[in-house]
Amino acid sequence: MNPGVEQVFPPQGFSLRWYANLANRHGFIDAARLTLILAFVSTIVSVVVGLLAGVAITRFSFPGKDLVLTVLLSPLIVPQVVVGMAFLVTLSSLGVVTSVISLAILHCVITLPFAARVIVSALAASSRSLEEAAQSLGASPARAFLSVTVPMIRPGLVAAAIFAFVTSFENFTASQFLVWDRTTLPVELYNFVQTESDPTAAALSSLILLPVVLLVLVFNNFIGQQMFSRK
Amino acid sequence: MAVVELRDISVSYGDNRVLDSVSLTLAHGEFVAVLGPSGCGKTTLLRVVAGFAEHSGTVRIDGKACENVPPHKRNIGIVFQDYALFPHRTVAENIGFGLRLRRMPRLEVTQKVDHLLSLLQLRGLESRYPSELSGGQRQRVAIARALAVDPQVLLLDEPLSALDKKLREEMQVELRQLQQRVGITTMFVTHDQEEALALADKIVVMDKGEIRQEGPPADVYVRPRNRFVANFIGKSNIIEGNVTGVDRQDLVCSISDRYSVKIKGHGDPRAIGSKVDFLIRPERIRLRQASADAAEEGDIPGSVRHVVYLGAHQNVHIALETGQIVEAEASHERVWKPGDSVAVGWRPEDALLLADD
Repeated sequence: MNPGVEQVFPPQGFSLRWYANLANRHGFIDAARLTLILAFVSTIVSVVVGLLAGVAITRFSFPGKDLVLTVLLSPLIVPQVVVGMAFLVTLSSLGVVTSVISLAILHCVITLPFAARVIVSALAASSRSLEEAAQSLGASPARAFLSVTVPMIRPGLVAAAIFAFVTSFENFTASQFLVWDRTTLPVELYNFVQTESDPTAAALSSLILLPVVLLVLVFNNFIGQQMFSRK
Repeated sequence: MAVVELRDISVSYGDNRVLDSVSLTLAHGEFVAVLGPSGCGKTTLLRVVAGFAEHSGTVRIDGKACENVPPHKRNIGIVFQDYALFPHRTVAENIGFGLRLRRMPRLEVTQKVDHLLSLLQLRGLESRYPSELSGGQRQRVAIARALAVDPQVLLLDEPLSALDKKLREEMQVELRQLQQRVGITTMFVTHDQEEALALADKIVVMDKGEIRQEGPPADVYVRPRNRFVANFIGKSNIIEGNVTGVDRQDLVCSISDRYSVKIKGHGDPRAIGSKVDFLIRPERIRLRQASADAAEEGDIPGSVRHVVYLGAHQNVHIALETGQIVEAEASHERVWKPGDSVAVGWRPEDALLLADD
């Protein structure tokens, strides 16, 4: 929103000039498209896998359960630079040098622990007797889970999805290692700032922030309603 | 005919044996209370009937073996301790849940739900959510939901424990009347002996995964077979004695160097010389002021330790000269004070011999 060509603070006035500039640059549009696709794919994958893993972890006991939980959550602990490097080395040695595929895998791995963490605690908090009540009334175990437990943990699922989406959408550190032929918005932004200094970057930053802020608002609203209408 | 038949049911969690070859039958329309302290395995027994617990031994419902029948095909109604109402469904949706699963036409579901709403006095609450109900209402919804599917057996897991005392007593009466009206075979798990005595046709007393005694409430109360049952049901004075002789039908038992008591109807000479435990209920103890008469009649002297005022009566704790401490239930005809000298006696037929544990 700065009419000048340099990034200065405080701004010298207001203008949409740099937003228009964004649209003219093909690189940004393409990066935005890829970033959104990655965010959607990794959200869906991590919520589904997180739900399945959550069921396995909270409902069954099996050998190596703690190990599974640790492995599932490990991308949270390992620095993203390390994750990105590991992916770069592994994927390139396997000959996978397509950004779309490698980034999709990377983003699923990075977002899964966030989603799984939330879903596991939602499932652990949901009462087992509700499912058993449904079963005693004639619902098969799968039916009982879908018609009783899933609606119960819906706020947890929504939270997991938003965490996953935001994490993928904003990821820079690990993603920068895999931008062979295509790039994501945060990486593109970084590249741009390194070479140019006009406020297009600021315009882009605000656009990256926008969906994230919207999602968090929607989420707050949703959770608030859930808590006050019916428990 | 037996609706539920359990034979040699054992359940172990690791090394922990929760149920140890328990056998039990529930006759048609019978209201059976499974009574025991927490951890005695009573809830596990209920879960075995419902199909939620892995076990050895056989479960038969309506004559059919249930080994490979999963819970959702057993046609059983359960009321859980926490009621387990579906929080995102209304009262009517909760009650109709099982009916819709059975693909009953919408109109019939509505009719059936309506019927249950009036049976359990829930009219006007059908569109509320469980969080908007009181404890008693939630419980009635849970019962209505369980009854909706016309189960062969109704299983109740401490359904009254979350209610306050007054409401609990009201619900006891309601539950009993409802059970008789519907005529459903019911298994009721509780740790509350008063509840079991008040509700059941048959009481099953459990401890450490085993059945210690079963029978009609009056029978279990009046003739507890062992120390555990005597202690668990009602208040008990358990006194140890040595059998010294037999007087016609009665057993003569010394409880100290100077005092002997009689126990009716156990006059077996072979018992002479053995140690026995016997029980006297507090309400069976005859309490009077110490006097020459009392001493002559063989009453045991003692002194009042303390007195508990209970409204309808008072409980007097007495230290007997023979060393035992007994509790007596006394009317308010006389006010007893700590330190009073008293004489304690009972009729031979009120002393009950207990089996060893």
